[in-house]
Amino acid sequence: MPLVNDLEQQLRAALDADAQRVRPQRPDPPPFAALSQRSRQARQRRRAMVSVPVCALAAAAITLVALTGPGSTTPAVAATPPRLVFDPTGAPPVSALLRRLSIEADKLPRIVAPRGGYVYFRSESWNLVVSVSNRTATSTLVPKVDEIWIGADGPRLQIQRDAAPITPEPLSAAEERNARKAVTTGPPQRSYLRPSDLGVFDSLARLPDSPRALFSKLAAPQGYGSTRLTDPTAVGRAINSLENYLDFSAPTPRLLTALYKMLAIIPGVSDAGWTTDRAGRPAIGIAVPADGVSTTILVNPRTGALLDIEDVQLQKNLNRVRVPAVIGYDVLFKAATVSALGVRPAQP
Amino acid sequence: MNFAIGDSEQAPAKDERSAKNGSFDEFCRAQYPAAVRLGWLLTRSSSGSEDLVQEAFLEVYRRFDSLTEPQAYLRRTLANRCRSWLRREMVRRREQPSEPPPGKDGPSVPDMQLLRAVQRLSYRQRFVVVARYWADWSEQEIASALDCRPGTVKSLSARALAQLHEEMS
Repeated sequence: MPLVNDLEQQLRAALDADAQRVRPQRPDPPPFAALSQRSRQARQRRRAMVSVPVCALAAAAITLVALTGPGSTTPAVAATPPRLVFDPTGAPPVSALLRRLSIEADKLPRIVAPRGGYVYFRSESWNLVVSVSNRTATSTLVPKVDEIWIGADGPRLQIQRDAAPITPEPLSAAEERNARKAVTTGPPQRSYLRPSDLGVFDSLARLPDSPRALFSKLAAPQGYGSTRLTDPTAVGRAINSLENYLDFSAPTPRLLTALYKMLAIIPGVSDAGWTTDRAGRPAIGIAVPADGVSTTILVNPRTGALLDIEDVQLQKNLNRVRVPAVIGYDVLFKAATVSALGVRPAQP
Repeated sequence: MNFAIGDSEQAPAKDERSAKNGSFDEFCRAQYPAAVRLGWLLTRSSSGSEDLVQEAFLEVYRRFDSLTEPQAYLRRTLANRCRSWLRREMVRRREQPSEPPPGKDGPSVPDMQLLRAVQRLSYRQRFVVVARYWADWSEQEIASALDCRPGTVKSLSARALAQLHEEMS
């Protein structure tokens, strides 16, 4: 029987010998220097899903092509969804809008998992994923559908369906619609998540209500980095964190109320106007400029419900898109309670 | 303290200077090999660990100017990415054998038994064991990477050693 001290010594030796078997190649720093300043933690976390086989309908709808065609001197760019069209006519001033939204959001029904039951939440997203290899950056657009069942005590079941197209732009609205349909019928990936799997993004309940405190928490979720309201990078991180939280949790009335109050104190936030979101719902947009990417938060103007978050890249970089371009969106659907894991509500 | 523990071939240093005083490139070169090895010890996938490390560096790069401790941020990012990766690999690995070792020279048979026992630990226990006994991180550094209290690191470490001790008995 090994003594603990012997075991510790053996551990050191075994781990060291094991680690020495790996001969990593030197990294290629240059591509890092030209990549987007904007981070998308949750979306990159899911990059492992890119290799999932594309289903037959997606294969019909989406043609994979090389980044540069034969004889072509112009590098192809990644396909991006068409931009939403906004009508600013009659849109209220942003400060009044956010004040009203924070009041209305507070009246939204609070959806709580019943004893033994779950909260079901569904979202659809398209995200641009950048990978770096051999000094070359490759952009891939990844459409994805997420369904998540959240238990009262924290455990979650997440089912993801996705595809990984690289297409030459532009992508027409019809192509986008077809690809979205293809994703919903794609092969499911199941993950059972514990709260500890989600790191700092495990619970909305930990987020503060105060607008300034909420911004600080979202801008520096790990406790690092600037939390200045005037710092575009901090604003970008705050939006990013919000998206990360919403990857695993349905937005609550409390969060939305605090969110609209927080947006009201960020310099440069503006009213984008009226539009229709990706799911065809009437919406009003709140534009949040940050760090080369403009985020537009689409909400139901009557109830304050959060409908969609769209990111538009404004500055050219190695993302290989033709700016301005939609580099990601998350369409959020109404949450509902269900009786068991895997059960879907009649009309989510 | 940095990742480059026991990495004589490219290790610039164990000192603190490399992180903020140099460029991101220097930081990257200094930390990369040991980060990949840490990824390997946690995931048992040489290709997967390279991908995870590159993604982690990409994330560090995006915040590099605003980070006061990029090494700590890299550690935490890599810890989270390895955990997420393993979570998603679990289903696939049930159906496929684990990746063969990257090189022919490796640990002895008793050491391999111990390493297999390490792989059977929970992720957090395994992380603590690897960080403590291979990377020589302090309890505070491990706690920061795992987003938990130092006391939790102590208990994770004690339980991991007890389990390893039992399995090797």
